[in-house]
Amino acid sequence: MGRWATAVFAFQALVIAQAANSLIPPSESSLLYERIPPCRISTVQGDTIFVERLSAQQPVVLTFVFARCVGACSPMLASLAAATEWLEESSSPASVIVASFDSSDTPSSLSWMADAYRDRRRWIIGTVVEPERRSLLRTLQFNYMLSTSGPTLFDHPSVVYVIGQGKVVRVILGYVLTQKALKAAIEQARGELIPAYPLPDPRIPFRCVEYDPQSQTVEYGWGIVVLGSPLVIGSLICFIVVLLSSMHSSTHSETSYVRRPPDLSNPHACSGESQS
Amino acid sequence: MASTSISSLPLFARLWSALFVILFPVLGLLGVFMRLFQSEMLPDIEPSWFYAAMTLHGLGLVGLVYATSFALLITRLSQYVAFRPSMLYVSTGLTGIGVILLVVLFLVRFGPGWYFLYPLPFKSAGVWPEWAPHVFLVALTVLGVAWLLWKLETLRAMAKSFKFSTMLGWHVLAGKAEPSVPPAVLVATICCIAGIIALSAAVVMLVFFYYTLLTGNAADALLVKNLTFFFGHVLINLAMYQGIGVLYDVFPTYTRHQWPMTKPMAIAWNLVLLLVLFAYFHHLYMDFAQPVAVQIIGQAASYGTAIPAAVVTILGTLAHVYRRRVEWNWSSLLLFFGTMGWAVGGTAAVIDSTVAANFRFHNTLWVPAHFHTYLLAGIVLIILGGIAHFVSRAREYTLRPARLPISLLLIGAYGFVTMFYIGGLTSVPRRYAIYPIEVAHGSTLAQVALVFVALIMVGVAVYLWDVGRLLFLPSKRSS
Amino acid sequence: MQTQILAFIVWGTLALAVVGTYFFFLLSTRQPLEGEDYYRAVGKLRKPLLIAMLIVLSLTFGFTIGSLPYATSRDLPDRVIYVGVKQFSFLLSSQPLVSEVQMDTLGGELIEIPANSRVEFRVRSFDVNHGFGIFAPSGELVAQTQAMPGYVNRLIVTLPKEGTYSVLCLEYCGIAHHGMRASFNVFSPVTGSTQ
Ligand code: HEM
Ligand SMILES: [Cu+2]
Ligand SMILES: [Cu+2]
Repeated sequence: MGRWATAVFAFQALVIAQAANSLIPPSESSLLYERIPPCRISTVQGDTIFVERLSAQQPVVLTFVFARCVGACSPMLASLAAATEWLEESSSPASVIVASFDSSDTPSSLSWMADAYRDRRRWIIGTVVEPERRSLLRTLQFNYMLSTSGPTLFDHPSVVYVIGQGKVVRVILGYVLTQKALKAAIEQARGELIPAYPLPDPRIPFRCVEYDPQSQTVEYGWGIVVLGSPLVIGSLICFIVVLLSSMHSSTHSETSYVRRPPDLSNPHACSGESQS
Repeated sequence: MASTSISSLPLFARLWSALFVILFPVLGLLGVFMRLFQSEMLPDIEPSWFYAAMTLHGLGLVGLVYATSFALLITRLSQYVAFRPSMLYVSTGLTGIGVILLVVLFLVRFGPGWYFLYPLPFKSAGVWPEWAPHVFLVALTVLGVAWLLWKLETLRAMAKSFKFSTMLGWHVLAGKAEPSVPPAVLVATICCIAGIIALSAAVVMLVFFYYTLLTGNAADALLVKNLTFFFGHVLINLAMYQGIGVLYDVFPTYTRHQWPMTKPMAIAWNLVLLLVLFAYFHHLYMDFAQPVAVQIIGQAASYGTAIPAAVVTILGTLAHVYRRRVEWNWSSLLLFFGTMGWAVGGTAAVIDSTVAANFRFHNTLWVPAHFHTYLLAGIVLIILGGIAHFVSRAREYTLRPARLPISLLLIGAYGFVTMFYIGGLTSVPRRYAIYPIEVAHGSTLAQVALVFVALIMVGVAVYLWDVGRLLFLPSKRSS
Repeated sequence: MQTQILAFIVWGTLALAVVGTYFFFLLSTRQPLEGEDYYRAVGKLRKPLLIAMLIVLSLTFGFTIGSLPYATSRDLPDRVIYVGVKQFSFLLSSQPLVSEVQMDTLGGELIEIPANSRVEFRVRSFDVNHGFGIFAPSGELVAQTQAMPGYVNRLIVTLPKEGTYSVLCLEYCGIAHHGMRASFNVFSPVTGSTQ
């Protein structure tokens, strides 16, 4: 049973991947620090949200879906929900916006999503107001097209944008999202950038810092231990030498020096050298 | 050992003193060559010679001041503890081999700079031959072994006569006056421990160089750079501290008052041991991959090292002379002014160890400015003063006050480094054979510096005539 | 005030103070007073000196530790310039640099940056350690980071002055270290000129 499920899942993934391949997905490097255009979201609850204003104040995780999606959207939302669960308890503000890219969607056609994620206080689900929808999608390089698998279905990339201070800081592709990646991305959106990162290279032994390009985070590596090793090695050597030497020392009487200290009353004999 | 009759200088001290008075001017001439080059007075010479000279000048002088200050310190220590001379000569011999290899490398224009950042020795851009890095690693290994043996022998010799806690002055910290321990022993102990740790770092660093050499695989450049400065920074600082050990032991000769171990002194040197190992982080401020906490520790530790130096040694030196009948001569004056160079250069070092300032000063001429201040106008003067003391005692020769040549030395040295400081002020990068248009005034500064170098040369020449010469006269028999 | 000038003044003042003190003490030996315990008298200065140094150093530490150059300001950059470095050239590009080949294929992009915008330079080296030093049109070194093989350093700066900035190498990297250079323009977003 489990194996069947896996097979079906894998098949689905393959289909989605192939479909997405024919579209050019947004690229993080070309979108980095791009300002998002002014746009409004009509939420399922009937409110209007100004995205660019909201994102200027707090990190915004933005993703695009469409209501009738039978492919990537559901698993992606589930994954996003799992990866942002911690946000609900977090004290610092941040929002998750799930917006429809489909012009035929209405806030009410998205209500099933709002029901499914009712417990998410930080989620905003809705449609983007026209004509801002077009400019937003264009700016964010979000391309979609009619699917070959059904008349009212779309092929579209699974992508999460993380926006801070009105600028795009991360574009995470694929519908497998991790808490680590989102946490790091939201930190970045707050302006907490890492000052540097190593380029991953498995052939380099004992690196001081390791980098995970998926989540764009750095972690300390074994190199730190290597760097500390001279302290331990050196101290140990000193300790052993001192121990051995004082063991062999017959006259550890500590009376005083082997030679007498310089006789300072006589200026010309004080360094001890001409005392003989 | 206790009965070493020293009406003639002990051979060991004499050997290192002689090496110093010969090699210091020779390696200094490489510095003159570099300043000439930067003045655009040597247009027909390839820049590769500049960088080879820079490497030999840096490595050679750092090694020379390190070894000589330690040799002089050991000579002082031999009054109190017994060394096995064979070990000292083995170290000296190995040092000699290492130095010869470095000179050979200079001749093939090997020039990765004195701290040879990984992987530069392997990437010559066609200047030095394939085998050069191999020979270089061998030279470093030989030097490392030599200096490790040297420190181990010193530690062993001291531990035979003193308890370890006594060597570290912990009994003084506990408020006990007895047993009385010469400050030189305390300083030497700190230098031995820090030195052995630093040389262990050198060994670990060498492992990575050999790894690349033998397998062709890359190592982590950040880790190797950390190890390089762990070792290089501590080494150059120890050169200074060892000289201070000599100062504590010799300077009282001329002030006619003891310089005993006190509680502040014991605290200071135990603190130095702790701080000197963590101050090196200031060399990596511009490596943003270094964790920010480490950078902050680096600034704190660097600031910290200034305190024991000023409060104990500098103030101590001044207190030692205040309104006393001091016998001013070649030796005492050089020792006295040597600590001044340490203070002035140290101030510039503290400024540069401020991350925010380093952002504008890192690898500009501010760096050679500060280290030439405490090396050339600091430790070199202390060593020259130490040598003058030893040789005059051995030869029962009365040193003259030498006010004029010492003035020349001081004016020359401070003028010379001031040109570097102005270079730092005006953003001139260090280690440039030729100054590009943005910093073209660098070559004017180099020209002015040459005038001051000439003054140094005159001062050194007089010293060599007055003092250095005595080292090479045949030994006088003990009376 | 420009950091360099401030630092130089601080150093110069302290250096003169040190030299003055040394000569004061040197000259004091001309009128020796035997019998008086001047050592102890000067030694009394130890504690005040210690306290003064602790105060001055802690204050300096406190004032300066806030202005670290490590992407600590929370303002996000406006743009990224990718910088590739190798013996002995720089490449400044608006395209991400992923392989050394691009150092040759991507050549010669004219980089124009509006004044006062926040720029992130992502600096990486393809061979040895180099430095990436930015020199303002006046010749003043305004910012720098290292280019270390295997790492990407993010130097984030705001450049207020318009004009042509030079990039010079600030880590010794071999025979033509002094010859490495690049430049970019900072223009006024209002007038659109780089002067
Ligand atoms: C007359 C004396 C001296 C002269 C004229 C001189 C000159 C120079 C010059 C021109 C440079 C290159 C500066 C640059 O980066 O552009 C240099 C570097 C250096 N000097 Fe000296 N110097 C002298 C004495 C000393 C002494 C006494 C020491 C050490 C005890 C020393 C240690 C160094 C070191 C470690 C470097 C750095 C080498 C490198 O960057 O790899 N110098 N010196
Ligand atoms: Cu370079
Ligand atoms: Cu370079």
